[in-house]
Amino acid sequence: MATTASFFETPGPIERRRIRLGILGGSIPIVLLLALAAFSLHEQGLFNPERWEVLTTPDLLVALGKGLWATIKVAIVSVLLSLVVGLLLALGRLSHRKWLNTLCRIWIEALRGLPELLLVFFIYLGIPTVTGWSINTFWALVVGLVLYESTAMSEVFRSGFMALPRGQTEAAHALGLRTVKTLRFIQLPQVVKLVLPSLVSEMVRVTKASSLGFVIGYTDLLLTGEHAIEFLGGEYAVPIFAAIALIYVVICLLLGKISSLLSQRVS
Amino acid sequence: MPANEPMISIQGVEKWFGQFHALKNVNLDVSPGEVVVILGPSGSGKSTLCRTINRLESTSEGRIIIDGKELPSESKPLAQLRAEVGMVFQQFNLFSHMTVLENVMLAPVQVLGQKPAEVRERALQLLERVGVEHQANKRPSALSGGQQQRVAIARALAMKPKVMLFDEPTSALDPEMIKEVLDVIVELTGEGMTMVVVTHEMGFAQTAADRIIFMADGEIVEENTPAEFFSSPKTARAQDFLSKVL
Amino acid sequence: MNAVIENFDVFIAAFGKTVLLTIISGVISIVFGLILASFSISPSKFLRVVNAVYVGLMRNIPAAAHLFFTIFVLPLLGVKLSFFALACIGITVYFSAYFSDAFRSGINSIGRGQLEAAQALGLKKSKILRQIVFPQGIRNSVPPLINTMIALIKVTAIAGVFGVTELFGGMLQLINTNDSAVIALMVFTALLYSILTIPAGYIAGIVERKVVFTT
Ligand SMILES: Nc1ncnc2c1ncn2[C@@H]1O[C@H](COP(=O)(O)OP(=O)(O)OP(=O)(O)O)[C@@H](O)[C@H]1O
Ligand SMILES: [Mg+2]
Repeated sequence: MATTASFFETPGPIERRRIRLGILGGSIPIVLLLALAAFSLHEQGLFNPERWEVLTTPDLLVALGKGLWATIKVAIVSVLLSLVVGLLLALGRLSHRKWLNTLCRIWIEALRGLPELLLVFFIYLGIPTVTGWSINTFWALVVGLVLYESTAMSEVFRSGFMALPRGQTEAAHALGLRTVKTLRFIQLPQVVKLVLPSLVSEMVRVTKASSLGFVIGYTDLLLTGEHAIEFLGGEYAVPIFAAIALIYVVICLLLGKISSLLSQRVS
Repeated sequence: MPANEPMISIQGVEKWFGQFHALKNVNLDVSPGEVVVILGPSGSGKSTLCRTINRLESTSEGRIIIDGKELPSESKPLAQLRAEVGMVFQQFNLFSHMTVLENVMLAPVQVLGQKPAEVRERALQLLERVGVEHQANKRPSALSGGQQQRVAIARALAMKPKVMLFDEPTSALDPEMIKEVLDVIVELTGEGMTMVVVTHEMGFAQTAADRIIFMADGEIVEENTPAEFFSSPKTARAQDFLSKVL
Repeated sequence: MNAVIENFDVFIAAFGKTVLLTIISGVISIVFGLILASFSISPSKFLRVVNAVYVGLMRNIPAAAHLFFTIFVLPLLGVKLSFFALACIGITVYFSAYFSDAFRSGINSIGRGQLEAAQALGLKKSKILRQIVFPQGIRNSVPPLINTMIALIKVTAIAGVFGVTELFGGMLQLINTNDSAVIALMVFTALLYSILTIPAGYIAGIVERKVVFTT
């Protein structure tokens, strides 16, 4: 979460009182608006405890649990594949072969400019059209996400490699290690350590992006929610949506926390 | 020492950073025109003390009085008081989006409301005095560290301060640039400016200081004249410190 | 290919709607982002917490979920607006958080030392903001702002799924009636998105090298 550390110095007592009055005055219209909205929601019975008890229904909880697992599954598989593809792309970008370097650059820039949703659709509709194979929603989603996320990962890896001191590669060459071995034994372990924090925060992005699955009918957390609302009725939309949003927030905040812990460890 | 009112009076100041006791019952009076040099090992609280004098660091307890006025806690009177106290930082801290001349002109125009044309003239004189007049229209990033620090001194002097605070003004400089900055500071001592200087330059301390304050672990351990401090320090901690740095 | 040429006018209309959606939600998000960012540097702890909580919550809810809420749930609560307006609200709620962070990163790139130097010279807070923080902070914010705007353009595609006939929604409709030309329709759509995003990315890179102040 964003820090709340003070940018300016802490104000004195008189100023503090003035600030407090300012905030109080400034928030009056906002509070009024919120009260109005709350009243209208109250009229619709939204604050009825019975509405929220729906969240304790075992069937709903099981469904949401399944949806959550489907989301996590996509996120994990996508991250792992993006790692591999991203590493390959990064190596391509760092290659001395000009054509390979250029090819990878064009590929990365072209994909980074496209909506992830469009890439998911490319796979979902395009693969069957071009090849005649059928592809299920899970893999269409995963491949679509990997197409996009691997380009982001490749940039992370690339900056990791560039941050390595040059001398190390040269020392390894002097020891007679060939490029592939240098990569495997000398560079990669250090790069992975260096980029681990940003890789974890990439996981946050992938987890959020996996919610695009609901567009192609992959029953992830979000689509499960939609089904539940359709099944149980619109009056349960808010509680169910709140639960789903909360689950996403908790997962992403946890991952973010891990990421910042890792960056402290590394530095 | 002159018998009149002290320019800076620090009375029973305590400073806590959370659990860490950074300043312990610090008492210090600085007379008008006096040059006080603060020495001490790293982490002893020298910078913290220097920064409390213009309240860049708030105190947990105690009083600080500058020219008869206690440091206020409200930002408006505090800003007025700070305008009379010049400060020079280890990292120069020039405004990077302004030219050298604009850096020097900013505060007299914006704080004192003086006419830009007059300020400009004075700023150019100050820049000439510190020897960077040819750099006046460059951005700070185009200057060497020593030049930047001299601009920072000119920027502080442009406010005609009653007091100048220096927090390790030469620690971030390459050795060959230290002298050019110290020369400017030594020149100021000759003009009767009240100064508090935190430094690791022992030669400078010996020649420029009227009084040496030696700090360790957040306390003032020894106060002495430079001649005595360097030849026969009273405390064991100071002896130990000098044996390491000299 | 024929499907693209025959439906060129549909594409143009849809493209225009994407641009409109981007501009409207982009401008409002930037304004809210700036307000939130100013909360984050305010002396009031309360306002700083408001910014942190808003950003921490909104950033971590997926864009699709935001749009799902505004377009699907809000009407159930009696909000009667067009899909387009609802999409604008959803995108704005989400991206205000990102723009707040973009401005914050620009402001935080100003060294703490410059702030202290300004304080030590006796400048009042309002003058420090006007003379030191804004001129540098806004310029240093430009590259992250452009990058956030690119992300916003890409997120507008999700609105297409919820009944807004912007570029992606228009493409979906065309695919429904021309299922033999799926690939051509998708490639052309991709091309239109690239026209918006790729030049913007280049500009961000140039600005980063030319304009940003380094301390
Ligand atoms: N903002 C802060 N928060 C917590 N601890 C701090 C803070 N500023 C300083 N300290 C601690 O207070 C102690 C004194 O710091 P100070 O910078 O005054 O030392 P110093 O004598 O200037 O040392 P040096 O010669 O290295 O500059 C140090 O142990 C430092 O870690
Ligand atoms: Mg220090």
